[in-house]
Amino acid sequence: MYTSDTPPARKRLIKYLVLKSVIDLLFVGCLAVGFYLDAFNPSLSGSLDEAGAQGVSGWVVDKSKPGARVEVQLYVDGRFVESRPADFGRADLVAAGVAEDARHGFFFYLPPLEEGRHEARVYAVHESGGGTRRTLRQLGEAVEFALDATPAEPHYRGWLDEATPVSVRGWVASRASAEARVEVELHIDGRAAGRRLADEPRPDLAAAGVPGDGRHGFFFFTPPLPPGGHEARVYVVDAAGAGAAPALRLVGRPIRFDVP
Amino acid sequence: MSVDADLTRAAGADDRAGTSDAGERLLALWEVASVTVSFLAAAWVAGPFAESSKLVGAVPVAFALVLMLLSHRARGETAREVGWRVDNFGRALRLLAPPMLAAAAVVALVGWTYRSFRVSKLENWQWVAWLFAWGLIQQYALHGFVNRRAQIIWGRGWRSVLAVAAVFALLHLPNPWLALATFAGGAAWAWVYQRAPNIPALAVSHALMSLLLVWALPPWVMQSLRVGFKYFN
Repeated sequence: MYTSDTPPARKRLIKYLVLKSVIDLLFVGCLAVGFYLDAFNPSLSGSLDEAGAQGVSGWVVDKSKPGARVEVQLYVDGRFVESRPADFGRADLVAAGVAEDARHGFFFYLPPLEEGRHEARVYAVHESGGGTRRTLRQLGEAVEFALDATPAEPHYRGWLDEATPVSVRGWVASRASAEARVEVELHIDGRAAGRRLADEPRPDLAAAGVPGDGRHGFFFFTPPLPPGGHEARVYVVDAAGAGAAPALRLVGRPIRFDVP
Repeated sequence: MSVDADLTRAAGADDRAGTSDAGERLLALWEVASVTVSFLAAAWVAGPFAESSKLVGAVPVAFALVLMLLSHRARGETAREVGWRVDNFGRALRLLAPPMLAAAAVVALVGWTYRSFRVSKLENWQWVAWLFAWGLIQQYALHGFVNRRAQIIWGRGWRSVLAVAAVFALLHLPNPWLALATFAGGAAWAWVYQRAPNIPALAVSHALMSLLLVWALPPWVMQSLRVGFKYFN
């Protein structure tokens, strides 16, 4: 029988076995880490900023491919709602140094939901393994929100995409008439700073499921402002019938920006 | 020394009870476990984790081969003793013939029952050539190494034969029918190796039996001989 009956031979064998065990562990460990990094992209960065009756918004950037648009998926109460690329303008991301270009925001309309509390989660989709795997990574925290029996904004749908020292842009459309052009008013720091029709072409709206011809965009040049922080709001000017004073309905949410 | 006596010694069969040195048995067990883990890692970890590169899947097998070679050297085993030889090729084939013919008859009967004979896979000569090469590596690892170490632990006989068969079947999980077939095949090959240690003869037998299984059995039985994580794909 061929045994390692001499102490040096036995010692050598033990040394080989220990060495191989260590190499095996390192190899499997490297494979596991490599697989994790490949399957769950660690370069994804983003957050779910808001969820409410108007919709769900946030941003995501793949730092390993800064120019790429990341696909995001919305889940409400654990159920899939919609998938779309995160390509809405978010100038604040560039200002904060998070992204090289602004088109990394996302916005989802909510599906019809019952009155009460709900939870929204948004996941970034990452493809690996030559397209054989798709993994989801949650962006930020889940956001809980409440819906009343009637929508918070029953007449209009829209969003304020960005506000910078140069411009303010977004879109708004009437729920009653898909082809109607809505008048909007820009307010900076609580003061009216311009009024116009939201009638600029926005091809992305049709892709996002907004009815109509997509000509619902608005664009304002930001008026000259002193250095410091400022707040932009855009309102729909709702005539509300002959003789009545027009009501202002907020589009999206206010955006704060800094003038250097 | 007669040829048979030489063969018997080369197979490590001059001690039917294995060694009485507990440390030596533990060392042999560690060697078997280390090589088995490497082949399992290739099938369950390296392959699926690095699906784009088959070379990565071969790394654990290469680790095992290096360990086996170093172990032979440390134990003073020659290539001839391990089974890399031609003088007993005919004797090994003669010993292999009865169990192979019996298994072939059973497989052919199953194939005839299910009308499942097909040659499509066999027309791929690269696959057939790979089957022979891979069979050679498997038989060397299984018998030139695992069988010999199992004999250090349990001696020559049914206990080491069953241990080798169990290791071979384990490496073919979770494919149930293939695990069953390899348990039977592994036992027959281990029994033959303990009497006529010849790796090339075992590799020829391995390749022929694999071709027979693929030719005769329905695809749902052998699942294209897939093992490890690939079995689920």
